[in-house]
Amino acid sequence: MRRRHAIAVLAVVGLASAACTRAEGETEVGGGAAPAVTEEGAPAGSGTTGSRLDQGGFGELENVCTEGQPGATTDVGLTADEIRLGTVTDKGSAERPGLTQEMYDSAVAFAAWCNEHGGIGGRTVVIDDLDAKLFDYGQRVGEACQQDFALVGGGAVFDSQDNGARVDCGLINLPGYAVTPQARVADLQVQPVPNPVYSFASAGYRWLLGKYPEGTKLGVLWVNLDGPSTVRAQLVEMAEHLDMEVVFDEQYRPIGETGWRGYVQKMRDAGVTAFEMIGEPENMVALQQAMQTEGWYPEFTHLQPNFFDAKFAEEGGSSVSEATYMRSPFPTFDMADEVPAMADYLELMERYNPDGKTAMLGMQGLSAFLLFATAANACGAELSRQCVLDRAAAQAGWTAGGLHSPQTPGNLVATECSLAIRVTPDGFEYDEELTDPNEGVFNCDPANVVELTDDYGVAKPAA
Amino acid sequence: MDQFLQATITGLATAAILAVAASGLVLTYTTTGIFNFAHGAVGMLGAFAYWQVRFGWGWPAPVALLVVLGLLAPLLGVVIERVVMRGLYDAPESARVVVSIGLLAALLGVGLWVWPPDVARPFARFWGNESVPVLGVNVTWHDVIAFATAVALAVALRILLFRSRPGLAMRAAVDDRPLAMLNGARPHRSAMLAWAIGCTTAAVAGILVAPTVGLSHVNLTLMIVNAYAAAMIGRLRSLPLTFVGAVAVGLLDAYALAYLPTDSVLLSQFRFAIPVILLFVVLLVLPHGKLRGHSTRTTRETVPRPPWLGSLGTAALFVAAGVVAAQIASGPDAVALQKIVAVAIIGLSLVPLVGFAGQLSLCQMSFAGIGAVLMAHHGHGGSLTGLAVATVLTGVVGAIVALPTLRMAGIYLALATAAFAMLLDQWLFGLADFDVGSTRISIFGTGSVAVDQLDVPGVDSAQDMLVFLSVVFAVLYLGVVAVRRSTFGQRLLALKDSPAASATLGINTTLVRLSVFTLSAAMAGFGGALYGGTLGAISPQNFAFVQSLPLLLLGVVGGIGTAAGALVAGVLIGGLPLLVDVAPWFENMYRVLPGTMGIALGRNPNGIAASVREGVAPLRRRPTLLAGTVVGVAAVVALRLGDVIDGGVFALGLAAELVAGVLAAQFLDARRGPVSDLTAPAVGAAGHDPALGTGDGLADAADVPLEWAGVDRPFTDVEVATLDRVLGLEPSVGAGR
Repeated sequence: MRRRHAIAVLAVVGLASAACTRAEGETEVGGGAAPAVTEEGAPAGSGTTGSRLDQGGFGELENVCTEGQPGATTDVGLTADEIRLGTVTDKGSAERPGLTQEMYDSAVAFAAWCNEHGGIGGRTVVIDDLDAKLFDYGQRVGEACQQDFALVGGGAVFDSQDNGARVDCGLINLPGYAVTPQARVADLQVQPVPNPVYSFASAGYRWLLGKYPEGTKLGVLWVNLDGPSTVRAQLVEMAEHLDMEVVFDEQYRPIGETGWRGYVQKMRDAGVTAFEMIGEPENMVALQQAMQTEGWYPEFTHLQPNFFDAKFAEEGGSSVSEATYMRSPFPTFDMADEVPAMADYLELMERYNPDGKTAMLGMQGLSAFLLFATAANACGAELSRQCVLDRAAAQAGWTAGGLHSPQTPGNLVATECSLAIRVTPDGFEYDEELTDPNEGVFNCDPANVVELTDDYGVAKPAA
Repeated sequence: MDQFLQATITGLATAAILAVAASGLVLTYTTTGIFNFAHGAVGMLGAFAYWQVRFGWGWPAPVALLVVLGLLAPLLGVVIERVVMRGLYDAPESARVVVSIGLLAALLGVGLWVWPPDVARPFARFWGNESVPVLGVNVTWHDVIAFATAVALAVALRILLFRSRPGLAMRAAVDDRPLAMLNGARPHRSAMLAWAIGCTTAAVAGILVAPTVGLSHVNLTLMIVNAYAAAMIGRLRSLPLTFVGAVAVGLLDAYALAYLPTDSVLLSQFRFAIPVILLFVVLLVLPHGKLRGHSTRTTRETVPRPPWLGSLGTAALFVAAGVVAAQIASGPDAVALQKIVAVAIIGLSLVPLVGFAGQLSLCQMSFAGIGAVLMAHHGHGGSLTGLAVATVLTGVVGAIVALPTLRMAGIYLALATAAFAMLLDQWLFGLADFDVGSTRISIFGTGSVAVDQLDVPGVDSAQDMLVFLSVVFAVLYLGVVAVRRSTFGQRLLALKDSPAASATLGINTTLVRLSVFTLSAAMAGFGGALYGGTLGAISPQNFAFVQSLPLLLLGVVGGIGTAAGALVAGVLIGGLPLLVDVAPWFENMYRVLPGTMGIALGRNPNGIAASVREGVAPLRRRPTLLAGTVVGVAAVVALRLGDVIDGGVFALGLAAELVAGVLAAQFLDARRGPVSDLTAPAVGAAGHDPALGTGDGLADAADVPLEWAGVDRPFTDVEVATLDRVLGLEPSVGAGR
């Protein structure tokens, strides 16, 4: 009896203290392995003095974070010596633990490195760990509105659930990724690697149709969640523009299917030659195995960049088809020799957050931070939310120091420049032949983008 | 013909796995009397354990299978029986359902803890990709093995259950435990064997399905719901029929995929709803087997009759707490607290339904979702009309759901409501906008829809809204108290105690059930509309079937007979995530905690509220001490409001005050003897109401009925003193406990 008693009391105490201590405005910078900030210019525990990172540069960017005299504290989230930036992720949800953990890990690494070199405009960067846990995005935005200068390098699966509150409180956003159509066109936002609604990067299909001319019969398998359903609608419209015929358009269960062979049989009977699955990589692995059993693969398979995940390569490598490709604005991790910025990303994570996860979204998050720092430096002493937003949007051809293909930061324009990655049993490989690069490792061509005109439920953003 | 053949073979492959899972479910129910909602979770753990041994450590397959199926799975079953289920044999149905839900949550948490997600775990099928042609279609060896296993299991389990002595002992123990004991059976051993075999079959299903579904914790755990229909077709009793049911579900699914057109919006996701619709139809049409596991002596659930004065006091206290919280909390914290209150309002809808009328419902969040969607579309700007529409229409839906389920009871009713919840979740909530004639029907649109919070004049900030919601909760709480004290409430309690007796007395049980479902659904819809307003924008995932489970779990843990249960549900569902924010190390424990709480229910089926009430009883009997504690609490609150102390000290201070008060009362009881409340009704008075005396007098606490005091457990000092007094004997304090 006493024990039950104690449990009940403990629960009450715990909850009460939780509710009340949060009111103090405490925030956690989270459990990353970030080393302490040292005196200016002295790298902590460096073994590679003289590397670009040690000189405060990243790829082609120089002096990303420097000493400086902070200007007036104009906006929320600025104090005399600190600038608070919020990074949103879903890593703490019960249903999908660890989701987009890599964006937070990037943020921690960036902040540690940046603070070592003086911070942004002379202010120490403080990262606010905003864990939306899938369903609490509105909550996190509410908190961020009160204490953060900007949301940088993060994103949430249900990122329309703040219902416009972020815009209402004037909080600017440089996201690592945006999912729902509402979020993809939101105000006060500059995406470093845009995922627009009315502009679709169709480079992958253009190249693949060139290599596999019979691949005009498209099959799409998708799951009915906000993000994937919009991508599927965009794909269907894109198919029309590229003279492809959609012969198979089916959904699968969000909690997974016990058997995928029915889908494979149906696709084969419908004559699918080009295939795309929109959803989570683990289901693709199962589908590939079903194709392997059936002894049938489409001419080519095209996947969205979210499949660029080491787990997918490891689990699906044994059953992947010969022609499974991804269009990516990022090079592969193996290309660190040819792409200095890639080497720098790996070094950054290794030195400043060795336990952190390295993945594509982590790179996108880092791009957001680099864009933010670049814009803030351009604003100088007149640092304000509006100034950062304007300067960020003005960075035409933004590459995050060469980390990814040239982008037009904002909400409007899909990139013309991408490269093709082939999924092989040994992992992800850069397919130079298919890419046909004309700008570094990327292929840039206006035909790599399709402008969409259907109604996607949201207004097209102004230029 | 070729397509038909292919679909048939695919369907049979699916059916095999469903059959293995469903057989395990039926076996567990037949041998333990508990419908194990955690069956899928056990399968998930089995799959992960097999992966670890086979692929993680590289042991050969036969050894890995032996280890997992011969050692680990049965061990888990024995542990579950010993630790969790042993105390549940005379627990009410709601407690048993809730404990298995708690077990599901706990096992899922354990799985996530031991095998963190986001780590690659390639899981090859048996014999890889080699296949054998059957009637022109390639069938993998894995599928063949699955099918063979399903058949073998069905046959073996049938022989075990109906043709072997252990099976007979297991079924006897479930039918009538005391009688079985009198006949020399050992129910504990049979139960351990039953759970061991049940867990083993679950692990087999998990290992077979993991290659196709992938090693995903949540997917593997929830995959089992497709097997419920198969188990139901077997009437939870007959294994061959279960097998037939699994074949039916598997084939239907495969044919639907192959032949059902998917161009219309309504049909595009219909296939996902087929197992659920089948479950519902089977529940409606087939005669139900006898409800298992009801012993002759059921632990008395108390539903205390709340006094008006006390209730008004509690309501006032709640509003006061809301006001104090609003003073302390910042904007975002106030929104978080609003969510707690909104969930508590939804939880309150469970009290008349589950607490008073004993009707198990696993679809409260679905009703809340309907209310929220209606508010989203009809309550623009936060209009009262929208809220009214949400409440009334959801009530109507509740009545519609109640109609076909009128003659269902216990687990069958729970499954029917679960089927309804999953129907919404997997089909209706996911529909894009579509037209019916000239009207456009929009549910969640492209995936999420905005909900405006109710516009209340004078409420401008989040803090004001928090106070408003607290007031709403308090008013609804008083409404629930009024229901409990009315004749309608008595009818509900009568329905819970014995529907047959109620009918004999002339109570129109149909009308009563219909009314309580309507009332409960309306309250849930109302709460859902407010909850949607606190969220700002809603998606189907907010109101999925899996969200109803913690609500029921925590509501019953809190004590579903009173509003305390609702409050506990709201606080824990809304509050535990807050706790994790403050203390990230708590995260793994947080995953397991709701489960363990549900399991602890086995110890006291009346929930935390009852335990707390028992614990606080000594304090309530000593007015001076109580007054002192209240003054202390008031002082701590005043210090906090004056910002003299911070939040942490405030919480500690509150807790310390309360604990000190209770401990002091217990100490005084031990030193000076208990205060017997001579104003309690005397022994034999008609209508002994266990709650009026709040634990005084005879039969202290609700754990045993009056006539078993001194038999089931020793007499307490209070009882001895009262007996001495009544019988005119010399006082003999110190005897008994």
